[in-house]
Amino acid sequence: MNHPRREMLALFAGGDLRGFAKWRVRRHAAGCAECGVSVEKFREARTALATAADELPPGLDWEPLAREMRANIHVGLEASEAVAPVIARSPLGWRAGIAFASLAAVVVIGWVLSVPKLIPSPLASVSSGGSTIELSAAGVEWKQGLQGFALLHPRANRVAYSVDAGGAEARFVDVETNQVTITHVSLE
Amino acid sequence: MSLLNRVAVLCPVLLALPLAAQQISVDFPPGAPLSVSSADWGGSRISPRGGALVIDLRASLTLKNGSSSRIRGVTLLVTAADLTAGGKASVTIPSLDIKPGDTFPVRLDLRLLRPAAGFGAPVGVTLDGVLFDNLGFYGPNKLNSRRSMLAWELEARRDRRFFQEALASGGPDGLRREMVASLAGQDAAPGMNVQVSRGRATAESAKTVELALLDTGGSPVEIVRGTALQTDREISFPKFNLRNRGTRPVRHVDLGWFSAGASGGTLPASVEIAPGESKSFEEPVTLRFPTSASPLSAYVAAVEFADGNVWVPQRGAQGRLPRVSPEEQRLSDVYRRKGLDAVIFELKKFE
Repeated sequence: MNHPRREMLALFAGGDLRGFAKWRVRRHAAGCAECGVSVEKFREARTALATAADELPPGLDWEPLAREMRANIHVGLEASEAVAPVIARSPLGWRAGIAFASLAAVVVIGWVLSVPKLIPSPLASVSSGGSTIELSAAGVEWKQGLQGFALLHPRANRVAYSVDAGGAEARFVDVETNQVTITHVSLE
Repeated sequence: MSLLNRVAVLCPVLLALPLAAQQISVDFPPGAPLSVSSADWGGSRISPRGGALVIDLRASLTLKNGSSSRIRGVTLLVTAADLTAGGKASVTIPSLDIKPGDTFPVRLDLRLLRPAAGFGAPVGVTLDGVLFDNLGFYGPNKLNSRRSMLAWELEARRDRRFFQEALASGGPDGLRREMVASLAGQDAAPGMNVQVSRGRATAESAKTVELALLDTGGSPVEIVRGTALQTDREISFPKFNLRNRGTRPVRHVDLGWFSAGASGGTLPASVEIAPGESKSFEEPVTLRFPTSASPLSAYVAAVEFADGNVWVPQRGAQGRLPRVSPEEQRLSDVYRRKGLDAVIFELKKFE
């Protein structure tokens, strides 16, 4: 009998499998006592981990623990590579390489395109030093590097904009409250 | 980054609401005439994007008037100290009519962008000022919201009076004409298309140009002369010579500007001018336009006297002003969405 790999069982136990893979592991685990027990053990471990995480003492610094765990994982991976048997090169290797390169390109492009921007296409901007306030159809945004802050006006039909020497303003009628609302963001 | 934060990145839907509530702190000073009756965070969400977290906060606050006077305006100060490095934001709702004991809604739609490494300090929301029917004011006034709210309230009274007179003299048709003219004027206003930068060096090719000066009838402060440095696409360092032609000392002047290419803005001038005295005021800013810069027009939008009273322009014979007031914007929006009867109801409410 071909058993699913252990990581597939772990993913299934955590509810992280989707579609056909999920169906296939569930079907197998239902008829295979050995894999069924493995799934149960993964579930118990997950529950125990969640309970332990809830009971972490206040003030515990997670970062050093996380760094140590990452380091251990890397050591484990390198050790397993060192003792792994040499596998003959698959005739599909170059295809896998192309697929991997394509996937990497998609991820990189996606990452670049998702460079965070709070509001689209500014109509006007006010800048001083390294900070900029932008006015757009969506709102008034203050932005500096990877940090930003915006006051939005999602329920406005008509917006009147204004800029001054140190900030920007949007004035609109909120269609839900019928109140005229003025949002202003200033650099100082 | 805490364990909870790590999990939140992976499970944005499940944990967004409680974490969103942690991201904002609403705190009104004790003894304030306004209190928070309820707060709803429905619709808030957190989503990872690139190397950052985008936190959408949708707050619906219900505020209660605990004073013995009607409230005409409220300004909330919004601070995100770790995000905006000293920058401030405000949400103002003018043109209110809140009786003692009544509640009213305030919507806050914020979007925060934080590095994925952590959420940081929460955004603080507090009261900066409350303006009452008798023009009395309460609040720390850190944003000078008293001056702004007082000017907007005086403009609101002026504009309601104008539309009430249009109704009285011309009947419903007269009021409709004014509403249509107001909407047409707002539609005809040029879009905002300008970049403002402070302290920018000006090109040597810049030439000094005269600004067009608009007389907003009866202003206690006169712009005697206005000049600026102009290149093809930039207008820099506008300089004004202001004269107090009234009888009361002045401590602040709001100068409005507009051009054919941009709907405009203000240049707040904190200058003390005694009656009969003249003073120069220069703002070290550069306005950059996407195409050739059109001539700039300037006018006095509001004046604050030393005693705290505020002057706003009156409507001239033609009834139009360079900038529509918040109240005119509200009334014309009521007309557009609900019709003339709703505008007449609003006008009578304030009589």
